[in-house]
Amino acid sequence: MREYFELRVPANPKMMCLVRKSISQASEMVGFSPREVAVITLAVDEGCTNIIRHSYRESANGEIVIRVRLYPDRIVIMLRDFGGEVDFRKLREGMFKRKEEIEKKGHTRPGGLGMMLIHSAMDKVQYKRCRNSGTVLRLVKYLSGDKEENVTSKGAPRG
Amino acid sequence: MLQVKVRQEDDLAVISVTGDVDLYSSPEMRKAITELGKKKVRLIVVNLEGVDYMDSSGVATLVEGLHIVNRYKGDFRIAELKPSVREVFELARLDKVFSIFETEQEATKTG
Repeated sequence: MREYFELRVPANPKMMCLVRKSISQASEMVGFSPREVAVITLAVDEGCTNIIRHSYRESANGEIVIRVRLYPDRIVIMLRDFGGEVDFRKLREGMFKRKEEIEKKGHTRPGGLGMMLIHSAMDKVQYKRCRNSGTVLRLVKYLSGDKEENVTSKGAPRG
Repeated sequence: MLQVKVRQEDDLAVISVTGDVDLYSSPEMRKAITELGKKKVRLIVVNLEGVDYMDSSGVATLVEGLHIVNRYKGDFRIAELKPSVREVFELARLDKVFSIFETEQEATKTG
């Protein structure tokens, strides 16, 4: 099996319920458990939220392209935006700060939780800045639970 | 569509939320929490029985609520989380940060 589909949606929070439905059903088709389906859906939602907030800065004109590939052992989801440059190092630093606050101090602040959820939910997380504009976020989740190490890289994501 | 209902009796308020809590809908929940925070209601319980899905915007709103209430030394509790929502708290490692109760009845007990 190597099924493929693509969604193009406005970068509008109102549209995210449609994205969630599609990703949830695609994950079910691969054979993920209900818990895994829920976390994959959450990760994609968080990726789109980051695009709306950071790449398009909540402007109403942006577009998100979501490409989904279904394999016998995994799902690969690519989120493409055409927005401004995002400082992923800063976002990752925010995520690690939140983790540290929660683990050491037992409390946290509201920001940076989205990145933390994406990295907790998926087996592989990669970012690539595109030559013209925007970013690709590539998310991979394996069926068997054979976890690859979470990575954030500037290298070219492969399908 | 998110529904947020507030029931207040003296120093106790229960916010009952129904629907998906995400970037689009979380401002509704934030509004209810901040209004009660302004009144410095001593115990605020957020009942999430009707919530099947919550993303980081929803979780961040609850973190914000916790901070507001902590500032005046009140009590902020959440109750009746479905497994799908509890999972989000666990993924964000926030299940130990919040006072989480199985039922609204337990969460509203004081003293």
